[in-house]
Amino acid sequence: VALAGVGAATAAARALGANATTAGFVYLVVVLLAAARLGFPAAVAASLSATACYNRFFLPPIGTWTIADPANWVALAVFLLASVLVSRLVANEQRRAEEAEARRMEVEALLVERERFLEERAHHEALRESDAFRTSLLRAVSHDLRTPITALRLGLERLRRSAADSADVDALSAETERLSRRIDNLLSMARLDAGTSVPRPEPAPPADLFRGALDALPLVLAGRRVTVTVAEDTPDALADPTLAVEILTNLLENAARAAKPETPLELAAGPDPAGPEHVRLEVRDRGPGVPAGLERPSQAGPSAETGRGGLGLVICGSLARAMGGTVTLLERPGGGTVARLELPAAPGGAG
Amino acid sequence: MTRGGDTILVVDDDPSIRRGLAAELAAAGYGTLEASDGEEGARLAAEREPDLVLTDLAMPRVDGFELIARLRRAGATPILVLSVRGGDADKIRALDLGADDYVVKPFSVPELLARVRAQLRRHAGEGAVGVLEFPGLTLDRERRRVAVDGRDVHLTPTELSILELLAAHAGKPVTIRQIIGRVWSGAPGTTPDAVRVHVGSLRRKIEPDPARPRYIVTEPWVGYRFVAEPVG
Repeated sequence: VALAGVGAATAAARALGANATTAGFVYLVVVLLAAARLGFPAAVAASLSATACYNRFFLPPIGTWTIADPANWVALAVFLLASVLVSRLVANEQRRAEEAEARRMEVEALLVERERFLEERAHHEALRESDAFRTSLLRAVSHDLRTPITALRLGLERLRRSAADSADVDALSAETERLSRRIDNLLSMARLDAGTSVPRPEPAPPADLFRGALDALPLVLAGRRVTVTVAEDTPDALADPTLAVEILTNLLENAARAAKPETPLELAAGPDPAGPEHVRLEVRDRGPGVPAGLERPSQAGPSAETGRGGLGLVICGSLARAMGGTVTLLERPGGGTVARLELPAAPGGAG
Repeated sequence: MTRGGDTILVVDDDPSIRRGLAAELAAAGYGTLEASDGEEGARLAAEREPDLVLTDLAMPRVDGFELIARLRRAGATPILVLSVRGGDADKIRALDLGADDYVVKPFSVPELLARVRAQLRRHAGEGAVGVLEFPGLTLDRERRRVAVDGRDVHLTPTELSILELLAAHAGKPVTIRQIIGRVWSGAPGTTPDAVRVHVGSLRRKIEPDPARPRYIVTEPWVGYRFVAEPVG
């Protein structure tokens, strides 16, 4: 193409009867175009062929490869030099332009990346803010539910002092405490579900967990015989003590309601026969046995049978699962139910 | 059971809780003062010098933490904090600021009154030296001897130091950090697990029934509490 351009320029210049100077400029333009469009090698080829044509057709004696005037040798040499230099310059310019274009694209890619990063960060911040929002919402809900419960309890105590018959007040107190426990259960569930709190395990001696559950049920267990046994080689549980006590409280409450008041309840802890990784805490009663459909509440969903004690059991299951534990209900030999909470054991054996 | 004449300052911004508390305390034989925030609480405490302060933590203007700090700069009046469930960080912060104990809302009234009695008694008996006596357990601090149900029990020096610390603060939660500070003189590298191991072996030696601890119970995330009430 470069050579065709040179040919066309030669023909055009001759047809117009151009002098040597005009032809030289026409050739330079052709070389320039070749350099710009076709690159340095093509430009050099165009320069050489243009030099030849310039010599043959425009420098006297015209039509020969010889040059008569020494000054024209100089002109021809200068023309060749100028053509190659121009080609070189244009090619360099071209390369720089390409490099600049590549850099521009790189910068653009970086900008796009940055844009995406900023967007992601904004997204994460929005998520964090919604977490903070949920946390503060739960705190407010918790405060607004517990304050009236506290006031209710205080009011009931006032009522108890003036009441002729305390049986009604006792019943109201028991129901208030029950409501309070359900609120605790639901808030614990909501916190775990919302991810605003994670269980915080620490080594917890089973005897202390049992004590916590007994302390939480003074009215339910009033006058009730409850035995507590902890086997000699029982490891500490590695569990969130608040959640573990909450689970045991629910299980104990269910047992107390399911079995007749004159029958004793048993709290028992022991190592897991399957291995040292778990510890077993059991609530045993002499009630009517395992309610249908609730054998493994820690695997049941919220749609599970929620009859007597059902909601509490499903909550127990969820809380246990959140700590890497399980709740299982078993038929007790000789009649009744064993509600078994299995929790991870703390390393370091019995403490 | 009630110590007559003791005055208790109740600080809570919720009027129904504040009045309910004051009514229960009055029914139990205590004189009561009421304040609706920390500012008023600090002023009343300075003017009237109550024997015990019962305070909420979250309050407008001056909150419970600030009130605890101000009261501690002024003296050693026992401070009982009303905490919310799950507010463990708040509990520990309040104890570190100098609060003596906490009850978790919604608390039962008998539980609250028991805590109040324990604090008033502990405060009255503070600084007592010599023999500490609890039902079934005697701790002779001068001879460094411990007897359970009349029989001498051999404790290691570490176990004895822990028991002395806890029993001297009977009824008051003692944080793991306080135990490390007092028993190990804050030796670096002493971990909560080391404390748990020593407390575990101490409990095995002094608790007649490990399934039903009578003297030392754990306070989740906080530390331990000596729960037996001193004799006499």
